[in-house]
Amino acid sequence: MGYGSLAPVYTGWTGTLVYSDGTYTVTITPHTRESVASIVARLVRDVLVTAGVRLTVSVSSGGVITIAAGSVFALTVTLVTATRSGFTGTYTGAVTYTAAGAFSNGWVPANGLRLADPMLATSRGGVVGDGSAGGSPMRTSATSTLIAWNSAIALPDLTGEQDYWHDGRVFGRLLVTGVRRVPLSSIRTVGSVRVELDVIEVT
Amino acid sequence: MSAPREVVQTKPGEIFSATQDVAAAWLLGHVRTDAPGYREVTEGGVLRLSTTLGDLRFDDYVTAMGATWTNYGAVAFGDIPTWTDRAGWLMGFGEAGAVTYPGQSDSWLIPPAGIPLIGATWTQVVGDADRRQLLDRHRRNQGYVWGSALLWRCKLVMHRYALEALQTGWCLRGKVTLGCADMLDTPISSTEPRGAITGYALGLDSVSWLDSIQQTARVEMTIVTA
Repeated sequence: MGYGSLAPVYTGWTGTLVYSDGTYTVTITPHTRESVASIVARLVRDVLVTAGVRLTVSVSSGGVITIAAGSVFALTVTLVTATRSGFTGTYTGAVTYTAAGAFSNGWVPANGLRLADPMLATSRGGVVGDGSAGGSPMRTSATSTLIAWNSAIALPDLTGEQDYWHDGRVFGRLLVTGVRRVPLSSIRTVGSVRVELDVIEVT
Repeated sequence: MSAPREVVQTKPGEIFSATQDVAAAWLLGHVRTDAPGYREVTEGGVLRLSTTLGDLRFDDYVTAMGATWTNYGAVAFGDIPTWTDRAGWLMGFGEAGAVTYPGQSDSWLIPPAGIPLIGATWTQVVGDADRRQLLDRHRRNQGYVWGSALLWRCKLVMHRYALEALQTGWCLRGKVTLGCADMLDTPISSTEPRGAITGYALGLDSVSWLDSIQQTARVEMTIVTA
């Protein structure tokens, strides 16, 4: 089990993330606006459905990504995709690969991260009197509070869109609209705080 | 608990079959074939669902797509569907149209229009409290105008993969059908509990996780029927 973390959404992607096991090759090409989290999560999904191999992903406390499988595979990461994910070049001959460095500008709270809501909401549609038709509801942005526990250090830059992810699974794309930090103790020598982020879902 | 299986296949002999053997209940979207956008596949030549089919429930839509494919003769091993519009996306084969996928594969996503449920319960909302009469500005309104619409508040329990399919939005609006896995086409009633609720989605009331690991979700939504 790795750490839950936030990964910023970027533009300007180049390069690819490629899985290969000799039989199957899965290539992930980043979309125009995507995060490292989303790209890795897509790799996990597409490798599962294409090759039948379940990749496990974990993020260390320092933001370093490890990708592992039950059998030997190769991983090739190029250009900006490599720069932002922390991987460098081609990895072969093993079942576990750890990036050379942390993924770009991620936030990995030291003591955990929790988002309780599924982040899905709609407006309410109207009804005609006899029930033979209904006005379609619209997707609306869900709001929630994301809780993190961390030492009382300065927060990273959370101004842009962020993907919240954990172990290769993306839970949602968020904008942070407010931040509160609550000390875990009135004794200020206890250096941990609970960070409450007001978030709004973006799609 | 394991993830629900994908439910659309393109295998020889069972081209485009919906394998409804895994879910206790289904939330199914409807597709209109008389409008472009979700009705084409090609295997050398464009195959298109007949516009006269009109409104199709998703399982009937998959069957119709399979019949179109079979009638074309493309049922041999190695025949590869290429999606020329969004029909492939609707059946769970990926994000974009105009993409060729390997043949003989299951869809790798839960289809946005065919959502398997772990369970579903529903109650009919009593509408009497909502009834009211409004006079117009000339006070010429006379008589009572009672609506006969039936509102159903549905509680759906689903795997997180199914929730992702619901989030795509196809079954959050427009015409939908909710029923048990072996549902009948007739409307549900006191004498036909295996009937289906076919109506229009009016919106979500709440979405919450049932477990701390966020694997199983409970969705409450309202559907209106005549």
